[in-house]
Amino acid sequence: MRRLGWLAVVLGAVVGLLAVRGSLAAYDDQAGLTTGTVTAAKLDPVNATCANKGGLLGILQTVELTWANLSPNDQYAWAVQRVSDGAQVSSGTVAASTGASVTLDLSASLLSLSLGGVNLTVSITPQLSAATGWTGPSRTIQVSTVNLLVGLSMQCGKA
Amino acid sequence: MAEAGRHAAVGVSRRGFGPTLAALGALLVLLVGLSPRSSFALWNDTSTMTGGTIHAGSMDLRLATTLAQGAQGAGTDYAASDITVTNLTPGESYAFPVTVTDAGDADFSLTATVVQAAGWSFTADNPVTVQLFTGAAKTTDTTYPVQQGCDGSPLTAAPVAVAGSPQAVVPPTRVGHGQGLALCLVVAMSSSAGNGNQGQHGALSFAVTATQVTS
Repeated sequence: MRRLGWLAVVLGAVVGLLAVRGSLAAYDDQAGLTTGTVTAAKLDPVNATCANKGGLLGILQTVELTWANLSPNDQYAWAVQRVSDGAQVSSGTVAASTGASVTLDLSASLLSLSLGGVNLTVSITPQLSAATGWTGPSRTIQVSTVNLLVGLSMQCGKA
Repeated sequence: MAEAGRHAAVGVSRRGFGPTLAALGALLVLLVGLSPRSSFALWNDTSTMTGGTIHAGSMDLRLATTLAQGAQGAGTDYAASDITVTNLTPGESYAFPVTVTDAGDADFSLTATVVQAAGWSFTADNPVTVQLFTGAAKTTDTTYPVQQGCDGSPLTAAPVAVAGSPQAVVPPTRVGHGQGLALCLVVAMSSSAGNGNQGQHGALSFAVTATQVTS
């Protein structure tokens, strides 16, 4: 009988404690939060123009490619390929700038070319300067070499 | 004589029980009369006490960004149109202040999930991430590549990719009633986000829940 009495006391205490802690059915409130739009950047293709430049008496000229600077975040990868066999002659990058336009001067010496009458394509690809894996569409422009008596020149368009 | 004496003794004994029984009977009557159970006819009195009205408390989760506080009332949404990012690129992160206020009558435990809202067009590898921190948003960095952050501690161990199914971004976090909790939301793009995400867009939909703390 004494044991039963103690058991009753313990049970009573447990029930009391549970009652103090209240119900497990709690109130709640929900709210949705919808943000505005998150939009990723997009790199557009360049629209380059080609101009014959310089040269003594019109010879030993170079070509100057110019296009609008699409974003100060962009840099531009360029590559020159020989049309005849697709071999890459040269390549490089024009660093990002805040200028309104970008220029790329190409000379025969820069391209290490020694033969005239070579048709070339110059491709220009915008890319993010801090994430070069993101690239825009490439655009190509045609140039060619001209072999003169005084040396090798370049010109816009095909030979 | 011996016989006569024996009868006499018996006679004396019989005479002695009478008073004893009478005394016991009187005592019994007295005890019964004193007992509270003695009568079924009780006097009584009743009165009614009317207490004041008991109003149930309520939970009231309110949200605010740089816009006015909103989401008052159960299940009300908050349009955080100020949380907007344009020209997001891989590796960039933008921070925004978000304040959660417990305007109800009890402490609550805050949880939240995030999911892609309708119109999401980013690639399936879920390149957009979010992470919530305590503290204030640090938004001073505005030059590419933007790397904004927060001055508090992260609520999740790592940024959470925003997916098509809800992802937990706030583990149970206690907020005292009448108090506000300043949080900082970082929206970022994974540095490995693919080219296919260029020009894509989407909004983030958070489901914020406040559950009353009962202990």
